[in-house]
Amino acid sequence: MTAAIAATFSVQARGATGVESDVALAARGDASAFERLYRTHVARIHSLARRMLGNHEADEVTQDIFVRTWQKLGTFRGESAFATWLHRLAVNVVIERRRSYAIQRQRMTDDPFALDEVTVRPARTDLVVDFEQAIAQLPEGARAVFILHDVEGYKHREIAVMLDVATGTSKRQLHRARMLMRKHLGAV
Amino acid sequence: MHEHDSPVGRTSPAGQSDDELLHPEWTDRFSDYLDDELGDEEREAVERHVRECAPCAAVLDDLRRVIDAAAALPATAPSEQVWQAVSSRLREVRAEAPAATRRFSFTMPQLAAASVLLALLSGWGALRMLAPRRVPAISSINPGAATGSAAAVPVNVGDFQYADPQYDAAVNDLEQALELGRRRLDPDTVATVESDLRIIDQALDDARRALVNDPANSYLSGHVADTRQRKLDLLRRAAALVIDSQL
Repeated sequence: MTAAIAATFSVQARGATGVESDVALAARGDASAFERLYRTHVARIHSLARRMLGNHEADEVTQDIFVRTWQKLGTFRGESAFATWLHRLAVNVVIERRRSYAIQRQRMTDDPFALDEVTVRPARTDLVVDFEQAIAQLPEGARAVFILHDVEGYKHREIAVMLDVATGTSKRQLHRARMLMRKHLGAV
Repeated sequence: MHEHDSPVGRTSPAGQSDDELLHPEWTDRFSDYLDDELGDEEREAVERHVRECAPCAAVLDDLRRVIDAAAALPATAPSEQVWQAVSSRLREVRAEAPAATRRFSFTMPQLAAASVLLALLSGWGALRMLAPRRVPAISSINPGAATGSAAAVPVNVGDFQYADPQYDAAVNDLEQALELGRRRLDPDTVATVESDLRIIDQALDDARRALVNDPANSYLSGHVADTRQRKLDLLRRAAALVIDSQL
C-alpha cells in the first residue's frame, strides 16, 4: 500500500502542466511564477494592445493588463485555458481604454480615404512592417474588428458583444477593413 | 467573357480600371463567403460568378491574401522596461493586500483529484481499522503481570511498537511527501501543521510512558490508538494540500 501511495503522489505531480502549476503558485502570491506567466504571454498581449491602441500606449496598457491579471488570478476557475482567459481580460482592458480615448482619436475614426494616401511601393523588404502600418491607418471601427477577427481569431458574435455593436455592423466593418487592406497589398 | 488570369491593376482595352469592372453586389459578399457565413445556394452563386468574372475573382484572391497575412502576423514582446514597471506595481499591490487574503479557488477537476487521493488514503486507513488490531498481549509487554508477579519488568518506551509496520511506513511516506512539498504551502500552514504534529507526538510519548506504569489501562491504550489515527489524518490533509498546490 505504501508503494501505491507514493505512486499516487508521483502521478499527481506528473499530471500538472507547467502553466497550471504557475497559475496556482501565482494565485498564492508567488512572484516568480507570475513572471514566468508574464514572459510566456506578454508578446501576444502587447501586440494586441499596440495594434488596437497604437505604439505610444501599448506599454502602459500592457502593464495595466498584467496588474489586473495579478489581482484577478484568484478568480480563474480553469474552465478555459489560461491563455484564453488572459486574452479575454486583455481585450476588455483595451476596449475600456479605447472608449476613454474615443474623443481624442476622432481624427482617425471615419476617414474612408486614409489608406489612399499610403504610397504603394512596388518592392518591399519588410512586408510585415508595412502591413502593420497599414493596419494602424485603418479607420478605428474597421481596425478594431479586423484585429479582433482576422488577427486574434474572435467570431463576429463575440466581437459584437465586446464592441457593443450589432453582428451585422461587425461584418460590414470587417469587409471594409479587408478591402482597404487589399489596396495596401498592391492589388490595385 | 473575361479571362480568369487577366492581371489585376491593369485597365481593360476600353480604358476602365479593374475597380470599375467590379460588381459590388458580388464583392460585398466575399468576406462572408470566405468566413463560411453564406448558405449553400448563395455560396454556389458566388462561385459561379467568380468563374465568369476575372476582376471579381482577383478581388477574392486578394482578400484571401489579406486574411492569410493577418493570421500570420507575429507577436513581438516589449522591452524589459515593461516588466520592470509591472514588477514595481505588483510590489505596491502586494504591500496593500497581503498574500494571505488571496483565495485560491479549486476547480472541479482539482477537487476530484484531491478526493481520489484522499479516498485512496482513507481506504487504506479504513482497511487498517477494520483489520484486527495487532495489539500485543499484555503478557508480552509485561510478562510479570500474567503470572501475578509483583516484579515489574522495566520496558523502554521504544519497546511499545504495537507491531504495526504498515502504519509506521504510511506515516513515514506522508511525512516525506510533506517535507518535499512544504515550499509550495503557505508558511503559516506549514508552521501550524508542524506545531500540531509536535503536540500529537508529545501526547503519544506521554501516553506510552504512562502505559509503562499502567500497562493494563485500556483507556490509555485506546488513547494511543486514537492519537496515532489523528496523526495519520493530519498528515493526509497536509499531503492533500501539497497535491492541490501542484494541480
